[in-house]
Amino acid sequence: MSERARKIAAWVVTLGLVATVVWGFLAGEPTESDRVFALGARIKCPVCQGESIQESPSETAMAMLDVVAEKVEAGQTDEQILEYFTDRYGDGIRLDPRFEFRTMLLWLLPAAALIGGGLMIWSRRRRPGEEPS
Amino acid sequence: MSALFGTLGTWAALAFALVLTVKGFLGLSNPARSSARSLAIPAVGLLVSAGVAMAALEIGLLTDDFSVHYIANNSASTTPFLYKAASAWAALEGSLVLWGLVLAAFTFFIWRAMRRLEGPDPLWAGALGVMGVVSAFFFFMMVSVSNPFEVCTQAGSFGFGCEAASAWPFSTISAPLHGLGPNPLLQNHPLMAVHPPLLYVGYVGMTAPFSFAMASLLLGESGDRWLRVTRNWTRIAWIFLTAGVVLGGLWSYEVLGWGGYWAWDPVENASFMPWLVATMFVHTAALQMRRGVLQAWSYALVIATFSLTILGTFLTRSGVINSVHSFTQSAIGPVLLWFLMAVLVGSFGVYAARINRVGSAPRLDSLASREGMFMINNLLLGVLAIVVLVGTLYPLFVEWRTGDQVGVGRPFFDRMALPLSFALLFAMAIGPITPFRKASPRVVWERFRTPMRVSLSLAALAAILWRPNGWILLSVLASTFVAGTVVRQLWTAARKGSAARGGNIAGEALATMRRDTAFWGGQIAHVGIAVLALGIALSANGAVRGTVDVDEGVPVAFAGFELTLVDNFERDEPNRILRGAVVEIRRGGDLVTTLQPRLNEYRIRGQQIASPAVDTGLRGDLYLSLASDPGVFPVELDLYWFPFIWLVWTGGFMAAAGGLWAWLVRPPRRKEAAIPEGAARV
Amino acid sequence: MTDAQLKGRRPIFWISVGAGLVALILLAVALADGFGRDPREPENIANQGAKIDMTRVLPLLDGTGDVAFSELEGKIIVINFWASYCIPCRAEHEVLTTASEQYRDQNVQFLGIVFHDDPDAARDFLDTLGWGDGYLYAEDPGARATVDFGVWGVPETYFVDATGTIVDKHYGAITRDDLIPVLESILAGDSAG
Repeated sequence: MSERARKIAAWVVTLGLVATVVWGFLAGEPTESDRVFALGARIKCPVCQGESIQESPSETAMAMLDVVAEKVEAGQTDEQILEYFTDRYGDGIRLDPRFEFRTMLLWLLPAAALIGGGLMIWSRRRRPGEEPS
Repeated sequence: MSALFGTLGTWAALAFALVLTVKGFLGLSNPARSSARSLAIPAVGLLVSAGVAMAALEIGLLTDDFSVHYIANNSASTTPFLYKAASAWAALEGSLVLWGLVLAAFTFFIWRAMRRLEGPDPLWAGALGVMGVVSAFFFFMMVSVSNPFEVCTQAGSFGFGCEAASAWPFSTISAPLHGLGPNPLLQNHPLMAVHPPLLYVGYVGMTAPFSFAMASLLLGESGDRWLRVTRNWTRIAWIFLTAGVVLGGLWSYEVLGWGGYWAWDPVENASFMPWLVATMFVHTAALQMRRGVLQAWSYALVIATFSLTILGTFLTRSGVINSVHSFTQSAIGPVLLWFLMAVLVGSFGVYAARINRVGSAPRLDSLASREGMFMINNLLLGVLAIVVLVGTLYPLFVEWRTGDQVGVGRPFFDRMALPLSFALLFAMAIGPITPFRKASPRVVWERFRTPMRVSLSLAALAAILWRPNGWILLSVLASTFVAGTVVRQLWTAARKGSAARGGNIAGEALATMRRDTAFWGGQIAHVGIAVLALGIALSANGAVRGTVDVDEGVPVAFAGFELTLVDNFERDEPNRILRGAVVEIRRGGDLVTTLQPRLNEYRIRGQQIASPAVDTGLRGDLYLSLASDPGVFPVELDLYWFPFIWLVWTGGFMAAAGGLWAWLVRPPRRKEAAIPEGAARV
Repeated sequence: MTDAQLKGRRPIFWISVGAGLVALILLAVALADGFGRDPREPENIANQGAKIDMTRVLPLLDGTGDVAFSELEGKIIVINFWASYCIPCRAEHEVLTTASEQYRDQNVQFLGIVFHDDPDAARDFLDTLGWGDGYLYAEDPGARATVDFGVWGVPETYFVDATGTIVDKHYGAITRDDLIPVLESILAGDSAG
C-alpha cells in the first residue's frame, strides 16, 4: 500500500471511530430520566448532613420522597414540587439553589473568574514586534 | 499529671515560638544574625515542648486520666486502644495539639536543613520566623480559648464525663469515674486513626512554602530560590493532602452508610480547596523553575493555599457551618477569624508592597506552548476552586444579608464541576506533550494521534459492547487519552534509550522515569487522576440502589446477586453492643461471600451507628447497610451496587504515589544519561 | 525587571487592592455573622403566615381515636413535634405540660405529634414523664404532617392562631421564657381583633 493510501485509510478509520463514539453518546442509556429520582437529588434531607432525600435512608427522607412521588403522579411540574417544599422548609431545603437576584453571584463569580483569567492569559502573549524572551 | 505536663508543654512551646519569631525576624533584617546556630534553641525547644504536650495527651488518654476535662469527655476506659490513641484528634482541643506538633516538626526539619547551609542566610531565618508566628498563634489558642489540658473541677452526673474545668493545673480536681468516650462516628472505623493526621500534615506542610515565600517577599529577593528550597516540603504537603482527601472519602464510604464518598460537604470542601490551589502551585512552581515565568503568581498561589488551610480550619471548627464532622461551637471561632484576617491582610499586604521588586512578567512567545497549557491548567483549577469557595461560603453571605438559609449542594457543585473536570482531563492529556516556547502543530499532532486513536477505539468498543450512558463514554475517552499520552511518551523515550544503549525496554522506561522524577512523578499523578475520574464516572452512573425487606431464609434478587438473610447476632464488646444480620450473597447459585451489616450501639453515649458491610470485587462493590433492627423480621436493608468504585481509591492513591516518586526516587548514578530528558521532550 | 514596572504602580494595582479589601471585609462580616447562631436554626421561618391544613386527621397516641384538626377550628394550637429518643424533648416536656394546663381555659390547645418514633416507645416516654392534662398526643402515619409543617428536626414547636395561621415557630427545646410571651401576644392579638 502506498503511503498516501495508508494515510487515507487511517483517516477513514479515525472518522469511523469518531462516528461510533458520537453514536454511542446519542444512543446510550439516557441519564436517569426518572423524575422522582431527579427531584429527590435536588432536595436536602432535613435530618441529615448534606445528603439529598434521594440518597438518605432516613425515615424523613423516605416520607419526603413519597410526597414527591405522589406529586409527580398528580402531574405537578418540577418547579411546583420544589416550591411546595420551599414554602414549608425555606430555601435551605434546596440543594440546587434557584437562580435569582440574591444567588446570582454563585454563577457570576465563577464565570467572571473564567473570563478574567482567560483575558489575563491572553495578555501574557508576546505582541507582534516584541522581542522574543 | 498529664494536665501538668501538657500545660507546661504548651506554654513552653508558645514561649519558644515567640522567641523563634523574634530571632527569625532579626535574622531576616540582619544577615549577621541569621545563622542556624542562633535559632537552634527555639527551633529544637519548640519541637521538644510540642512533643511533651502530645505525649502528655496520649499518655493521659491511654492511662484513662479522667482528671483532664478533654480526656473525660472524649475517651473512656472501655474504648479500644486504637481509638483511645486516636481520641487525641477526635475533638477540637486535642486536634490542635497534633496540629501544633506537626507544625513544630516542620519547623524543626527546616532548621535542620538550614544547619547544612554554608553560612547565615536571612531567607531561612525569616522563613523560620514566619513558622514561629504561625506556631505562636496555634499554641496561643491551646493556652487560651481551646485548652486541651484543663483539669476537671466538676464531674458530670453519675460520674460520667466532666462538666466544669479549670486551666490552672493545681485546681481542686473532681475527676469523673467514667469517661464519655469518643463520638461514636469517630470510633467506628480504624481509618479515623489515620485520616486526620494525614490531612494535618498536608495542611500544616503548606506553611513551609508559605513561610519561605513571605521571607522572600520581605527580603525583596527575586528569583526562584524560595521555590527550590521548599520543593520537597511542598511535595510532602501535597502528597499528604492528596492522601488525606482520598482517605476522607473512603472513611465516609465505609462509615456513614449511605454509600457515598463525597457530598460536597463544607468540611470536605475545606480540604478540597487547599488541594486545588496547592495543585495549581505545584504546577506553576515547576514552570517557574524551568522557564522563569509566573513569578508573582506563584507567590499569590502559595499565600492563597495557606489562607485556605486557615479558612478550612475556621469553617470546621467555628461552628458557623453545619456539617458532618464539624466540631462543636466554641470560643475559638472569633480568634480563628481574626487570625485569618491577619493572615490575609498581612501576607497579601506584603505581596502588594513587594511584588514590583520580585515579580517579573516576561511575555510568552506563544500561548500554544507548554507554558500556555500550564496557564490553562491554572485557569481551570482556579475556576474550580472559586466554584467550591463561593458555593461553600455563599449561604453564609445570604443568611447574613437576608436571614434566609439557602442550600447549595451536590446538584450545583456537580453541574459546575463536571465541565471543568472534563476540560482538565483533556488539558492534562495535551499539556505534557506540548513543547515549551512554541508548539508546532505538527509535533503535537505526532504525539497526539496514536493515543487519541487508541482512546477513540476503546470508547467506540465500549459504546458498541455496553451502550453506557454519555458520561461514562466521555470519561473512558478522556481517561484513556490521558493514560495513552503518558504511555506513548514513556514508550518513545524508552525505545530511543534502548536503541542507543541496547538495554531492554522495561529497564529503559524505568531509567527514563528515574532521570526526571519531577516530570514522571507528575505523569504518574496524572494517570492516577484519570483512573480516579473513570472510577467516579463508572460508579456514579452505573450505581444501583435499592431498599428491601428481607425475611430469614427468603432470597431476594439485587443487581444480579441473590441475597439471603441466614442469621442475626448480638455481640457484646466492652464499649459497644454489635447487632447485625448475616447475609449470604450468591451469584448464579455460587456463594460469593457472607456479609454482616451491623448496628453498633455505643453504650455510654447510647447512640446507634449503622455500620455497613462491603464486598469489594473486581467488578464493583456490593454495599449493605441495615435500616432496621436486625433482630426483628423482616429486616430492612439498604442495598447499593457500585461498579468499579475501587478505581476511585486506587486512582487517588496513585496520584499521591506520583508525588512520592517525585520526592523520594533518586536519579540513577550512571553518568552516561547523555540525552537530557528535557531535550527529548521539547 | 523592566522600566515600566519600576516607574510606579498602574491604576489596575490600586483597583485590585481596593477590590481585595472590599472582598475581605465582606468575607469577615459574613463569617462573623455566623457566631452565636446555631446553623441548624434559620432566622426566618419559611411558613410563617401560612394557613395550616385544617382537614388533617391524626390517630391519637393513647389509642382512643383520632384528632381532627377541623374540631380545633377557632382555637389557638401549639403543635410540638417530639420523639422519645430526643434528649431536648425531655427537657421541654414539663414546660409544655405546665403551660397546657395554665392556658386550657383560654382557648389554647396543645398538640404533641410524634416524629419518626415507635408508638410504644413514645407511650413509654409519656408514662414515665407524665401525660399532660388535656394535652393531645398524636401519631403521624407516613410522616405527612411532619413534611407538611416542614419540620427540620425534633423538637420543634409551632404556634397557630385561631384563624389557623402559623404565627411563630421555635427550634429546639422550648423554655417558659420562649413560650409564654408568644402565647400571650397571640391571645392579646385575638382579643383585640
